[in-house]
Amino acid sequence: MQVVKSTPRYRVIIDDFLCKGCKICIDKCPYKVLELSDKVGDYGALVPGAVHEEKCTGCKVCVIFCPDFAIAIEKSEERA
Amino acid sequence: MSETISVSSKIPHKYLRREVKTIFCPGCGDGMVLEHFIRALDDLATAGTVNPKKVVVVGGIGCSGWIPTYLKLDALHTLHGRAVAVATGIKLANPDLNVIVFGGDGDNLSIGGNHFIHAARRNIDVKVVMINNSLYGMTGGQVSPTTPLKTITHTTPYGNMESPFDGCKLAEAAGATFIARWTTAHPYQIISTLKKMIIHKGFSYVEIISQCPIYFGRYVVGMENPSEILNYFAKNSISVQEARTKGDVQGKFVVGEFQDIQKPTFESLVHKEIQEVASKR
Repeated sequence: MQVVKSTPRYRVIIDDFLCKGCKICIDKCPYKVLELSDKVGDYGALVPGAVHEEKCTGCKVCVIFCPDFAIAIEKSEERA
Repeated sequence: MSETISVSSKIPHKYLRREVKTIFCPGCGDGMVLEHFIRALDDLATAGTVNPKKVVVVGGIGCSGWIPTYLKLDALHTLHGRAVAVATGIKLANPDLNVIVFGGDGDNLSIGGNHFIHAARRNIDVKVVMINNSLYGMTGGQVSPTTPLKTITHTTPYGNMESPFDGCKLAEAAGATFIARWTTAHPYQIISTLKKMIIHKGFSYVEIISQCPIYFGRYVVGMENPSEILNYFAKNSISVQEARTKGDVQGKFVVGEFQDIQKPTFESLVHKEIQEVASKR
């Protein structure tokens, strides 16, 4: 059976310029939306990427725990 | 908690200087405290309780002393340990201002301990946010007045022999009127307490136990991952109410709001006296 990915309700935007790659958000996300990507940020560290964006419920735990103001959660326009 | 806390991602950038890049290490708790303070201030500013133009932030020396410099508020970066002394001067000169001091354990309990206890004794309306990382983080992980017993740091290779300070008990004994302590694993509680602290009239002391992933994490707790240290804080925290009934709190972080009372503030007494003396002439 083919698994159909539902359209994400929220968009997770990670600022490469501000992210230092501390990985707190990856651990704190209750739905495991974020995973370490192979993209290198401005600080020379690997930045997280929103791999499972469709799982995001917009709880913003990652936003409140991020020490570097690098994460933004926006409501997806397609669903609204 | 009945109150709602806004977690919009756009709020911090309203109060930060443009294209801000903090000097903090990856995963440092200072950045989290900076964010929580901005959210607390913004909540009060949108409600109309506090005018951000009347807020002055003062910082000393140390990693946490850098926090005021990133804010788009009136900010002062002062000498080591003298942040509370400078804040006292600001508050006495202009009592309309809301003066908030950011500092570390070295700044407030070690070199500035004298200023700290005397500001608390006078009950001057200055708010102190102390970010406690249990050692001197900026200079390379030396022992500080809040380092736990038997801890191995760079200057105590066979274990720390000095008993640590309990900042909250010290502030209570010195006469502070608002005292609270949280760890960085409690962001929502920190925001709610900081809101109460900003409104409070009188000497306020909020201690935030923070992670220093580089020195405290790597050498003391043996965890390099900041989120692991956050989980360690959350697991080893115990509330004030529980601690009072239990008694034994060895190796635990006692968190919560310890005291919230009202007493006449120093600057109100000083200005009252100035008016009285001036009217007699």
